[in-house]
Amino acid sequence: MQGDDKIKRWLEGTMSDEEIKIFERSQEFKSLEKLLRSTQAFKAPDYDVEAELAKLRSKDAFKNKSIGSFRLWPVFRIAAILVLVMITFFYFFINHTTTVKTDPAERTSIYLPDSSEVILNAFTTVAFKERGWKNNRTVQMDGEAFFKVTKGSKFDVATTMGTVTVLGTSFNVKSRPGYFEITCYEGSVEVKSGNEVARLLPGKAVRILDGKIAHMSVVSVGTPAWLHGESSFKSVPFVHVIRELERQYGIEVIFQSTKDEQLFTGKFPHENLSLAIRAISAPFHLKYEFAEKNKVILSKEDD
Amino acid sequence: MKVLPKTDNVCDEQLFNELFRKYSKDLHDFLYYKYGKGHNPGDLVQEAFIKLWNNCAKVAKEKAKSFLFTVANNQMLNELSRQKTVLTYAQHRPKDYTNESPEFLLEENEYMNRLQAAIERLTEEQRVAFLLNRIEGKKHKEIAEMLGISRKAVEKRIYTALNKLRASVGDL
Repeated sequence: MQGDDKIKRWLEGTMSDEEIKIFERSQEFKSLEKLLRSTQAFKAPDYDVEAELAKLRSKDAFKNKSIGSFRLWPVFRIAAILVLVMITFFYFFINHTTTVKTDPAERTSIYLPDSSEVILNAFTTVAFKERGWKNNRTVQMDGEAFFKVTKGSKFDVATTMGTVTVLGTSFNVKSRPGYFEITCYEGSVEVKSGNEVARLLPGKAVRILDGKIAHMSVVSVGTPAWLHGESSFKSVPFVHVIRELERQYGIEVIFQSTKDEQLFTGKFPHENLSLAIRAISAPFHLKYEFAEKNKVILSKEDD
Repeated sequence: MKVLPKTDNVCDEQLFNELFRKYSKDLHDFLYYKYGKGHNPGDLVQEAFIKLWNNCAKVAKEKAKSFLFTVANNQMLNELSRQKTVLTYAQHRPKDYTNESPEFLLEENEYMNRLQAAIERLTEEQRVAFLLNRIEGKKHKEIAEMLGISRKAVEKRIYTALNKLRASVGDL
């Protein structure tokens, strides 16, 4: 065919504009055009991409496999497991800190790795590290606890108020906001608070109140009073007595008086709230009333 | 096939959706023009993409397209080997004639029948290249990429197809 070359060049788009004009007027082009126009009738059916995609994604094979996107590259999978094991190991065996807490009105006792015993009074936190316990017997403590320490290396009780160091003994540490009191029941105890250092022998106690240190003797009964169901005080500012009452019963005491600096000597029981309140309010001629179930208001007795 | 790092494979759902939007229509048209409407090209597209997803960890992003075309094509050949089907193409003729005399319609009909027969007689390769170019408006370069052949080969196929069709329908 004579027009072959022309058609070829027309198809490839290598024909000049001039040539195209001439070519488009030819009979050959008319039949070519008709052919190409008619060819449009064989167009593929419309394809709705979004509808087909939605259909695909709703298929089971796809759904199940979508878990596959979480399939880890095997090397990475092994690495991830190793890291997890290491973190677990580090956390539990190397650097794990055991923490024991009591709520208000709750008491509990725990044993340390060397079978030293710690009895926690209400609202107290004790923390220690099991690792290397033999060489580093340190207990972080906030609140009040009684310690029966097995003989061994130095034993430290660290509190925000100061540190108590012993060898093997039993003693009570009370570290409450503004109040630090250590009573020695057996052996000997060394107390460090700020620049103050005190050594205690059995039956002796030391109390640091607002930075002032006071040595005391206690009637030795072997264990602190709170272990026998009562809180005992000897010349303690009234406000600290009230805070202790709050901790022992999990209540709130509203105290509208100026008597909080007065000293209180006496005790209150842990199992009878009204008796306990009377025990501490009577000496100061205070009356009490319950505002709510857990709220007590102390006020001056009307004369 | 080797398992590829996550950044190189196609396991990301976002990426997978993108691939579908990009290639599904081309793949559908390719199957349709190559094998006709006897087999549902839409279903084969779906199957090809499911296969891609199942093997997503082993397929590199830049290999996804050829993976899809190869898989769909093989799938189609499998089906064809099972059942011999006559290729048929739908005709939806544009009704843009104003003077439709009976003779004209008859001639038109005759022309279309011959054209259809001629298109069906083309080789698969020629038909795909020709129809993708003339109907879907795909450029020679695009078709070359789609089929994994050279641009020259595409041009040759289109030209040969056109010549065959011209010879069949005559100079009406």
